Amino acid sequence: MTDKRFEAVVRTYADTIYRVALHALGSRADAEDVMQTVLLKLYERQEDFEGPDHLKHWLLRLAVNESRSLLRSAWRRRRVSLEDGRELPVPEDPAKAELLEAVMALEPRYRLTVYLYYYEGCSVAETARALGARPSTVQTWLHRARQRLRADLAPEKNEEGYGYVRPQILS
Amino acid sequence: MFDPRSYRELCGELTASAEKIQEVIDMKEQNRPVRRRRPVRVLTAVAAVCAALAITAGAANLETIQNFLISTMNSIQVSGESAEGSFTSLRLPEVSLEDREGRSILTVDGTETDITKSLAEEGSYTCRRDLGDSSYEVTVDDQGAVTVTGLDAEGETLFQLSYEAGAAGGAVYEVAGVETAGSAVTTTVTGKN
Repeated sequence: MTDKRFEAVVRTYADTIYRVALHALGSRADAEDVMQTVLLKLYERQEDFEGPDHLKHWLLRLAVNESRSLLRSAWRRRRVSLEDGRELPVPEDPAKAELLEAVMALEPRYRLTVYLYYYEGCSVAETARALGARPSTVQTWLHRARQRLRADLAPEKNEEGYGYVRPQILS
Repeated sequence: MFDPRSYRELCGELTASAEKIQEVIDMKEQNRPVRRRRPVRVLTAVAAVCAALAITAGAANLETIQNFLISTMNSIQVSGESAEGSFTSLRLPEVSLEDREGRSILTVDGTETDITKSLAEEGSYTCRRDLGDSSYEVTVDDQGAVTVTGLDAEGETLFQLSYEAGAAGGAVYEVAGVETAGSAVTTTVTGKN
């Protein structure tokens, strides 16, 4: 890959890789580390890609794998036990902040599934390939993630005290 | 209510810092990082069923399992029920990773696979075996660390066992059980070096 081509790919996909890693790890600093690792591996790669889709899905899978490697690494486990480990960006819009919080409260595999399916527009089969899982498993994850998000973001959850009366047993 | 459109807008705002992106572009102009392969290590987890130690996975016991595995680790069998579903028995595979004339050869239950290309291209290699009501995944990363993950029928992680080189070059094993209400994962470890 020429330097010019590499720079173009970096400009195009750096944020994509970062978002995948952020969904997997829940930490901005770790996500940026993974982004750099993945892009350097891209630079070192000798083989050509068959096309833009091949390149994109290779990057998605590598981002998932590198994030998992980081999650498994002993030094990160030690560090996370000392710190909170979460270092998320905070959107200015409260609704978006709540949405991000709800998504990041899911387990990593659910977060990644939601991201790949809803943002990257991957099919279930493509998501399964990126995550190294069976399509039926991804469908289950997607279903559970939707259920959890629906419950966490339900309007009535935040309407207590405003036209909402908690049921009580009256003696 | 989860609104996919709002979520897409939100993701569009999640961007890496321009400095970090520029660092990557600048880094390529420097010397490429030298990758060091770890020495050949062999992880063996055979399912010979002769109970020597039975431990219910939980925070208090993980350390016990880990300490035990550091000194003797040859045979493991996991069985029990999880909150999401039950499994009768999960046999860990016999796994070995060898550096054979510069090629990385992964052997899982006697089946050899040359994973050199996958490690170089994707940074890791994962294979999965279905065992009916459970399954396991064996993952090797490009540093040679091996992870065996046990999954129930729904694909939920039951436990994970990883193998990495220790600080002094020795083996370090870790077992992480899933702690969920109603789960009861029993790990039986047997064997000697």
